[in-house]
Amino acid sequence: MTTTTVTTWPLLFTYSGPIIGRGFFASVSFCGRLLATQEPEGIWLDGVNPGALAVGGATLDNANHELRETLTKVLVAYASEAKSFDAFKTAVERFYHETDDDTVAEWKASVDALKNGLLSVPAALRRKPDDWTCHVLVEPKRIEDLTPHDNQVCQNDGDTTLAKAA
Amino acid sequence: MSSFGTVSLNEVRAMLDACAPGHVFRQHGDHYYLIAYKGLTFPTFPRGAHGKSNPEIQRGVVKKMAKFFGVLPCAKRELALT
Repeated sequence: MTTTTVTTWPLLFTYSGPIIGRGFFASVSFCGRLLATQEPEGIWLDGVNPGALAVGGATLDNANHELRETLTKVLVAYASEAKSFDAFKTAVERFYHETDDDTVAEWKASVDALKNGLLSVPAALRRKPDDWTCHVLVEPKRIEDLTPHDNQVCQNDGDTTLAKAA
Repeated sequence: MSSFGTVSLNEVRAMLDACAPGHVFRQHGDHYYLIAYKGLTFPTFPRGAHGKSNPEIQRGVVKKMAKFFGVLPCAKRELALT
């Protein structure tokens, strides 16, 4: 079998954090999907879920940091506009689920390339099981349930891994 | 062409007028514009550097946004994206 170098990786990532809205606290967590492309200037990340997202960085760590900054900022933007927790929840779920067919097809092709041993990937990227399911969860939080761990600075250790080949 | 190259916001707005007629383009929080078209919403379009009326936007974001809305072929013609 001939191995070719394909530089688009199917990544899974986790994100969680507290968001303060107008009169509500919310906890937002999700496992999302990304396509990571290696370019001469760095790593570019295109969102699969959420789909309306694209960031880049000189390294995967830099791009990962930009991803989390962007997610937090857009969630805060939604919280600023939402008149209620329910409105915020609806907006975040919609943001997570909306994507486009072309990007989903690229994701599937990238996973197939990984399964067939055609992807050259960094050794440091861990792999997730083939049946790993991604999700979004938006829950109200009471102030008495908050802990120092909920501070956003503690959320930057979110996980980014490679979607595993079977 | 690199995702890290840039195109001006004015050029992107002109592309959207040509390729996504009837789209909505409005501020979304302190850092982003929200673009809506045909029932889909792209809420992470960057506003660019503070104080700039026509900031530069990374091509990768523009390309992703166009693909998201299903107008990438038109956007490629208008902006020479690859």
